[in-house]
Amino acid sequence: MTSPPVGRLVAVLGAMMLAIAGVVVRLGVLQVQESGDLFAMGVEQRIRTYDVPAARGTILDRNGIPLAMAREARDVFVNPQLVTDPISQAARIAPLLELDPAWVRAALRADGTFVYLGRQVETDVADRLASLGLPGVGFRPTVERYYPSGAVASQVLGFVGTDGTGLGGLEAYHEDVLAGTPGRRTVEVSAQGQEIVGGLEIVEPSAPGTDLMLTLDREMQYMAQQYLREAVKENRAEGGTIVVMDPNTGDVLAMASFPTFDPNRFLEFPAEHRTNRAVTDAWEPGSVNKIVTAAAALETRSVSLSERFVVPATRVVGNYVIHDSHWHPPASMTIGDIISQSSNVGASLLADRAGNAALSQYFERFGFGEPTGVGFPGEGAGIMPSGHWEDITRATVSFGAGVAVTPLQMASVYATIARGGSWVQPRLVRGTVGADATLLESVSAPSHRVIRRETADLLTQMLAAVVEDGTGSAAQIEGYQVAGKTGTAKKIDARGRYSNRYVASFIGFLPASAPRVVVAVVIDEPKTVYGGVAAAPLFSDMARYAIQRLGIEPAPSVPAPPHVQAAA
Amino acid sequence: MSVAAPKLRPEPRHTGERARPAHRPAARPPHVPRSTPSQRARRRSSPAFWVLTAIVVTVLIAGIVSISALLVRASFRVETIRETLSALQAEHAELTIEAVTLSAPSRIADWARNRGMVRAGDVQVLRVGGGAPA
Repeated sequence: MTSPPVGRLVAVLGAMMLAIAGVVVRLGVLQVQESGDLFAMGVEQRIRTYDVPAARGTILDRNGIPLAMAREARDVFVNPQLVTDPISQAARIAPLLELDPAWVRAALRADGTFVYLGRQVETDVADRLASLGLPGVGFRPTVERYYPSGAVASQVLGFVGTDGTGLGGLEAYHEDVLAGTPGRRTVEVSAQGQEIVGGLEIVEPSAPGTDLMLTLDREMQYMAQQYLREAVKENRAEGGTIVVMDPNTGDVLAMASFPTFDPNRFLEFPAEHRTNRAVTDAWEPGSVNKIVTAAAALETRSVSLSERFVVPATRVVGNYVIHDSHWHPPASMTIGDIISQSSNVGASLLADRAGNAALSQYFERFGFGEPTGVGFPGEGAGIMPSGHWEDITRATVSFGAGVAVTPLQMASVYATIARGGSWVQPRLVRGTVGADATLLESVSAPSHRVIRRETADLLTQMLAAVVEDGTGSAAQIEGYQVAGKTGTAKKIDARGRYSNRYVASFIGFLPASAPRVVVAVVIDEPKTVYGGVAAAPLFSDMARYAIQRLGIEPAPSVPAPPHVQAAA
Repeated sequence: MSVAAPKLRPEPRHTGERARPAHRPAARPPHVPRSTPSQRARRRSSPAFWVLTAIVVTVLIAGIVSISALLVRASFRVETIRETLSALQAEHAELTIEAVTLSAPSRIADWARNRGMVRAGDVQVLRVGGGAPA
């Protein structure tokens, strides 16, 4: 009998023990030392978290009619790993999503497990696609921004990008109010990236955004855009801007520029069409600015109503010659005549009386050089001459050259006169609408006194005379007394010099004695040049519509300003 | 040197009670009437007991089942109502969009223009008795 191979048995046993010890050590490493990382890796592989988009708040007009709203839509995606027949599937997907079949084929053959085929696809299109039952094609609920009235108020509303963020206008300015809070959906997916039915699903619902009520009136906004488009075409102009305001509250009832754009298809339009020029673009106001000069002269009592000035057609100021729009022999004019006949030379004489300090002070008090604070992104401040004013600066500023304002700033000036000399901040937003449909009115717009009521009344009389006997006769409306002022200004070219291109304007309000509406009209490069011809008829059309829309009743007329006489 | 006198055990007082003997005989347990085997059998197999128990258990089970069924039914109803609400909300949203789209001023203006309609004329102001406009 042989003895057992003890040595070999011990060696085998030792080897086995070592192997087992190795396994135990490795297990220890995996289960203890690396367990956290491995667990996290596992979770990452099988748990996916998606954002659940929040429904963006609705933007309503002043009567509660939606101008911008959230609409249900679907994002369409494909997992190329699950696609069985890319060619035939692409042929069925492409026409439904209006895509290039070659692009769809490439997407269906792509590497990876997720490719978007379409973002914010309409639900009925997505339903038709879903009914085809194509393998690998999936859908994810989302919301898109929809502007039911198309181009109406588009430059004020702005637009929203594919990710649901406001990119312009009030959509961008009130992003924090409108956006809401997105939710989250956490699901368990298979190795192929498909959701496991009955697996983990945690949904944190999204909170919708808050609705915003504007001061705009949809119907008035539409008509303003229509009239503006027609006026631009009739005058063969480059564009135009119109602002309609309630002078008593500062509410902007309509605000538009032409050319415009459709925010539902904003990428198809050039950037300049999307600009709200009433707020962002400054222009030299020309003669509509003379009313500020007159206000400064009257407020400082440097000119009396009956005082007569000898006003020639031209005047030398320093090394420059300023002149009226038409040649005339030297005329005897009161301050009222200077405004109604829109004399540049006369305005410069008024400015001389008021002086630099008073003139610049009243310009600032009327809001020149500062944004109005209407609440719009990129609002312009306009341009005021800085430093010491030379004589020529004072002279040109008096008739609206060498100074720049936005149409909204100028509309605010006339609203100030209309409401008796007190400036009120214009506003575009009335407030937010709560979940119970109640309006939470914004804090009332700030206001401050600019000129005395008596001065405002005198200026109103002068403005009424402009329409009745002066350059603004095309703005007359039968049965209503209109107060307003024409303006014609040369445009500055790229080299900073005056060109032969003009901007025509008319700004006014009615009824003169109890103003209900202010309308500011600016026509860019009209072929007819003058504000009284190019812009006043548009004012008249818009004001007529406002009379009907707002139910404005005729009011007693204001008297003619003292000693108004036509130029000799 | 003094030594404490040993403590004397007090003598039992003669109060008429007799001193207990050191080893008393075990007290007899109180008399409990023991049921006879026939009595025990009768109690165990009492039909009234079983009937009562069955009724109670049945009522309890029926109650629990009914409440459960009611809860399930209520839950189904809540779910149905929730689905209806969700569907109605979706329908309301769709109809709102449709209504707003249909009432868009540009659409109405185009529709009217295509049917030969024209814009309304200006407001006509009538002067009563040649005075101020009315």
